[in-house]
Amino acid sequence: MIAKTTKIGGVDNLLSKRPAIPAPIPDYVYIAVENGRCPKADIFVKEGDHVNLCQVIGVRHGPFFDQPIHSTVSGTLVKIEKHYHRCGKLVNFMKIENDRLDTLDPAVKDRTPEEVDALTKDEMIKIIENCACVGLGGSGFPTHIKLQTKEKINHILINGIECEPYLDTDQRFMLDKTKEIFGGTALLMKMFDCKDARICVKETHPEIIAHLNEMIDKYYPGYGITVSPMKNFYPQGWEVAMVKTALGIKMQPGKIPPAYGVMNVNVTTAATIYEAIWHNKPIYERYMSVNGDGINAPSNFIVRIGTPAIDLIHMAGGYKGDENKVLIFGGPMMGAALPNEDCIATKTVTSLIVMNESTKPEAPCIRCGSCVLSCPQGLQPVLIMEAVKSTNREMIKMLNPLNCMECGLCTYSCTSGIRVTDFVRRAKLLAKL
Amino acid sequence: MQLVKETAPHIKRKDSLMWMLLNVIIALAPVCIWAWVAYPLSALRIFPLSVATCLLCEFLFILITKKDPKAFKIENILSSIITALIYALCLPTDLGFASGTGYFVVVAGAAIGIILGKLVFGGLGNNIFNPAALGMIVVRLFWGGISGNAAGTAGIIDSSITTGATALAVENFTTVPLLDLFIGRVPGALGETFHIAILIGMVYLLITKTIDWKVLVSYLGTFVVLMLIAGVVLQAKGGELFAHYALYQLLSGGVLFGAVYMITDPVTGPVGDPARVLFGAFAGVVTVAIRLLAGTEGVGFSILFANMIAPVLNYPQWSSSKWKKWHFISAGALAGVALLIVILPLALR
Repeated sequence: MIAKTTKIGGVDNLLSKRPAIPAPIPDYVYIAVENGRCPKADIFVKEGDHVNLCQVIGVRHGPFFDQPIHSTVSGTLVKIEKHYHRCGKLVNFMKIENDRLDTLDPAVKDRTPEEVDALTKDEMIKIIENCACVGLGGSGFPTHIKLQTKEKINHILINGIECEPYLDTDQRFMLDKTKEIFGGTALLMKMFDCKDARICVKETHPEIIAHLNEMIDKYYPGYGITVSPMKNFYPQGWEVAMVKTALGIKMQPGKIPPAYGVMNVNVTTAATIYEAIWHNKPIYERYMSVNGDGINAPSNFIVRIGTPAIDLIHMAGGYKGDENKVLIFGGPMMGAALPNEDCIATKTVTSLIVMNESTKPEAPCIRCGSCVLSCPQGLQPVLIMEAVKSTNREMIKMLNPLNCMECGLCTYSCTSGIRVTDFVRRAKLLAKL
Repeated sequence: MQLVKETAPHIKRKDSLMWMLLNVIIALAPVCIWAWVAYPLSALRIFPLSVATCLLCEFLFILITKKDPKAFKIENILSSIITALIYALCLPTDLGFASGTGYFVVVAGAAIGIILGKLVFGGLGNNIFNPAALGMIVVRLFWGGISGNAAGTAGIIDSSITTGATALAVENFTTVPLLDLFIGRVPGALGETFHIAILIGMVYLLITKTIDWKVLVSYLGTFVVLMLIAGVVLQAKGGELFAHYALYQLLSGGVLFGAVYMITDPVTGPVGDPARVLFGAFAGVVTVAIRLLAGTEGVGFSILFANMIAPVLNYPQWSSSKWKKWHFISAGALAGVALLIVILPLALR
C-alpha cells in the first residue's frame, strides 16, 4: 500500500477510563546506581545499612551534571547486584529489602506558601536538582539543566499527549493529579515570568479536556493556564509537532524549543516539580501502563520505582497466548525491547508493553515510498537504506540522517515489512564518523 | 513462548507486499477476462505461454542465485505473473500462430523482458526497467513484421490500422468513432483497447492505494495537455476539433493501459512526491514526442525512457520529499522542451 501513515491503527485504548491500581510494593526494590546518561556513581550507604524512604543514598555523575539517588522504600540495603537497565546495559543496582514501614526521610518537609513565594528562580532550580527531577516522559533529561536556559520563555507547554499506541499513563495521571500538574505549571510560569501555559491533550479525550477546564475554573482562574486540544496522529507528542500544533511555530531541524521561547515539560515532570518545591519530595512512585496485545489484564498501575518487570507482568495477569513476546519499557514505536524479564522499572519508565512478535515477513523493497510519505522529518528512508547497503558515506551525508528522531514510522509503514529504522540508525552512526 | 529481542518499532502496519501484488493481479483481471472473451484463441495461446515462461525464468534465477528452491516465495510468483500478464496484454492478437513462429515470439519476448529487464539487476525490487515494457519493445523491434495485420510494419503495438494512425501519419483518422475506441471495438493489442476494463482496474488500484495517483495524474495530465495544445495548433491549420483530437489520442494505442499498469510500477519509478510528478510528466512528454514526431506509438518507449531517469530523480544530492526550487525549474524546463521540440515543428509543418 502506498500511503502516508498518520495514525497507528487497530489499538482501542481504554485504560484511562478505569482508575489506576496501586500496585503491591515488592519485598525488594532495585535502585539503579548508574544509568544510560551517567556512567559513574558514588554510593553513600553500605550493605546492611538502614535507609529511609526518599533518603539520598548516592549520587550519579553525568557528563555535565550530578544527580542524587533516592531510595524508594524504607528498609535495609541488602547488596549491590547486576541487572538490566532499560537502556539495555547490565548495570549495578542497589537491592533494598522493604520493611513496609515507608518511614519518610526527615529531609522531606513541606514548605509554607510564604516560603515558596520567597523562592527565587535559582533556588527553585537548586531544589529541583536536589530532588533529581528528570524528563519523565521517557527522555530522562535532567530538568534543572533544561530550566537553566538563557532564552526568554513566552510559552510553557505541558505535554500530556502520549501519541504512541497502548500508552495511557499520562491520560489517567491528568485525571488523578490535576492539582499537582497545575501547581507545577504555576511554578514554572512564576520561574520564567511567563503568562501563557498550555496543557496539551489529545482531542480524542474530551473527558480529560472537560475535567481540566473545570479544574482551571475552580483553582486557577485568570492565571493564564489553558488547555490546548491536540490532533490525533503519530507523532503529535514529538516536541516539534506539538509546538507546531499548539502555537503554530515551525521549528527547524536541530533546534530546541527554548530557541523559540517555548518550554515544554511532560505532565508527570510538572507534577514532580510541584512535589519538589512544595514538599521537597523526590519521585518514588509513578503511573505506569501495563498494556499490549500479549498481556491478560491491561491496566494502569501506580508502581513503586525499582519494581522488576516480571512483577508488573504478574500484576497484569501474565502473558496472553503462546506467541513469542516482546517486552518494552516505553511505547511500541520507540521503546527498546528488554533483554529479559529481570529488567527494573526506573523512574523514566512510562509503561511496560507486552507485544506479540510481529508475524509480518520481510520481503524485498519495492520502493513503494510509504516511508518517504510518512517521515515526519521529510527524510527519505528508502534512499538512506540504499546508501547504507552500499556503505556510501557521501550519499548518506547528503540525505541528512542526523535529523531522524527514530519515531519508527518508516518501519511501521513499510509494505515489505523491512526494519528501515535500523538502516537509518546505522546511517546516523556512519554520518557521524 | 520466548522473549524476542528486537529493535524498535515493535508494531507494523497491517498490509503486505503479497496483498499489494495480489491487488495488481485483481486489477488486471477485468482486462484479462475481456481480452479472453474478445480474442479467445489468441488469449488461450498467449497467456499460458507468457506466464509459464516468466515463472520458469524467475524460478531458475532464484535457484541459481539463492541455491535454495525455498527462496522462491509467493512474492516472486505473484510478481512474475504480473509481468507476464501485462506483457501478454501488450502483444498483438495475431502473431502468426498458424506458422508456429508466434509461439516462439511470445516465449522469447517474455524471457528477454524478464531476464534483461528484471533478473540481471537482481530480481524483484532491484530492476531499473519495467520488464513487461522491455519484452513488448523487444518483440516490436525484432519481430515487428510478423503480425498478420495490414499495418504490421508500423510496429506491433499499433499493428492495427486505427492505432497505427495515432498521429499525423494518416490525416483522416476521425473515421473511427470515439465510442468504438472507448469500448474497444477496434483492432489492437490483446488488452490495451478495452478502456472500460482498464478504468475498473484503475479505480480498484486507486482505492486500495496500490499505485500512487501522482504518477498516474501527472502522466495522463501532461499527455492530455500537450495533445490539447497540438490539437489547437492542428485545428488552426484546418484539422479536426482540438478536443476530439486529444480524446482520440488518449483512447488510441496503449496510453491508458500504460498509465494504469506500467508507469505506476513503484519499483521502476522514483520515490517522493516531486520526483514522482516529474517522472510522470517526463514520460508524458516522451510519449507525445514519439507520437507526434515519429508518427508511431510511444507508450512503451516512453516508459523505458522514464525508467532510465528515475535513479537520476532520486540522486541523493538533490532528491527531496518536499517541493524544492530545482523541481519547479526542471518542470519548467520540461514544459519548455515539450513545447519547443514537439509543438513548434507541428506548427511550422
